[in-house]
Amino acid sequence: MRDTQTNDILLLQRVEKGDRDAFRALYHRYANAVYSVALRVTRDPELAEEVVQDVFMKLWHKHHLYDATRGRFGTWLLSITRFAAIDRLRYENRRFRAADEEKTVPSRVEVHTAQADHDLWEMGQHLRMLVERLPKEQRQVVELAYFQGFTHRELAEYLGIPLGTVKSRLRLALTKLRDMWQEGMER
Amino acid sequence: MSEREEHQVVSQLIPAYAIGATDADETALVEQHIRHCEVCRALLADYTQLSDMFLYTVPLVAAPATLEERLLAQIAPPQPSDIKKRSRSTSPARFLFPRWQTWAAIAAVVLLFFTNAYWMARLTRVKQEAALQATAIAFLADAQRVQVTGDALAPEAGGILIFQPDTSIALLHLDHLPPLPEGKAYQVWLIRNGHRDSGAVFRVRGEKEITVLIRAPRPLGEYEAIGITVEPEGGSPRPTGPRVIKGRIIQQGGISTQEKAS
Repeated sequence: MRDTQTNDILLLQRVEKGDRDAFRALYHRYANAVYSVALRVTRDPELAEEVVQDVFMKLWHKHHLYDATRGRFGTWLLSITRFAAIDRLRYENRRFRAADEEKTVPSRVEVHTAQADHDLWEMGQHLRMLVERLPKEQRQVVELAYFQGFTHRELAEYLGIPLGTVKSRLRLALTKLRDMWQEGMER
Repeated sequence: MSEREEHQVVSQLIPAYAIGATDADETALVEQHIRHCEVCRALLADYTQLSDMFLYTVPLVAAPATLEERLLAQIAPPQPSDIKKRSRSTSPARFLFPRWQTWAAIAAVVLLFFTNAYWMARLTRVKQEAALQATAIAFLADAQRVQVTGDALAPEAGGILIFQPDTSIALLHLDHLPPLPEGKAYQVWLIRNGHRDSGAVFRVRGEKEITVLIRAPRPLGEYEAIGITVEPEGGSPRPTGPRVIKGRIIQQGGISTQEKAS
């Protein structure tokens, strides 16, 4: 039985030839994951839908941008989703608003199993628990940097704290997470 | 800064760099340093792995069911099998012509009507008419399509924009646009970097469907979105009235300015 990555590559090769069924199969496999990342970043269902459309249109027209030697297809797709969503927030000048809406994510039906990369999603839930264990201030800078695309200076401006504090807080949080993560993986 | 100092600074920046949180000057420093520092490259690989895993920490939610149909409508012409699978009861008004070929043929006739009327007023030679028709057919054969949808003021309205990215004319087929009072007209706007170019001004007099010929100042592929607003008859230099239709023009040239994906 072929693994997810091999299947994805085969589907991608068919997409390259304009095969709509292959495109649809990839959509079914990743739509929920892509939408989830887009919604996590934008905090806006309508904007998240637009991001999903943009990402899959990119997949249809520019599938050659994926380089299989640099990682899994699913991770690449979610990664371009994250950047596309952050770009949309930047373009619409809504990053600060999205950050403020941290606690008002619209309720949606939560899907309990992923259509692909189950192992990664399981590991992701483990990392999520580790993030929850960080002190609130550290968790905040990690999430703003990762999901809203804030840089050091933007974090300092948004949070109203010195730049040096932001840098050390973020570094400390990420170092701690990496250590806990690696420790967990070695067990 | 000595090499050792630089190494120390960069190794402290790498966690933030891996998640894209460094500012431009820091990013430049890291990228320059890791070219020759194996230790920092290995550290970056570690943090990149962590960064990738963050993607899988988001709560999994279901994508809206309507998204797939909208997406598929934007790519290649539907195959016969797709048409059989598609439910006809969901939005009959929006898909009066479910077969692309039929729709294209009707749109071609409408386009030829408009273009012929335009040219007949100026040109009388039969050869020129034939050349125009050939151009119109070629235009439709190679065209891209995007769906446009009604806003709160016209929720039933919708349609399809047909265009070639490298040309500045396009066809916009619309249905269920509400008629406007005297003195008002619909105006099509093409949006690029926040700037809006007028593409057409037209009126609806009760017809359920209308095809509008759009003439843009730039090739359609350079625009990001399209919108229609209600304006005074004759049009406005910039949008002043409420928006009734919106749509994104997806270009073949990418959507994200950052290609930092792994």
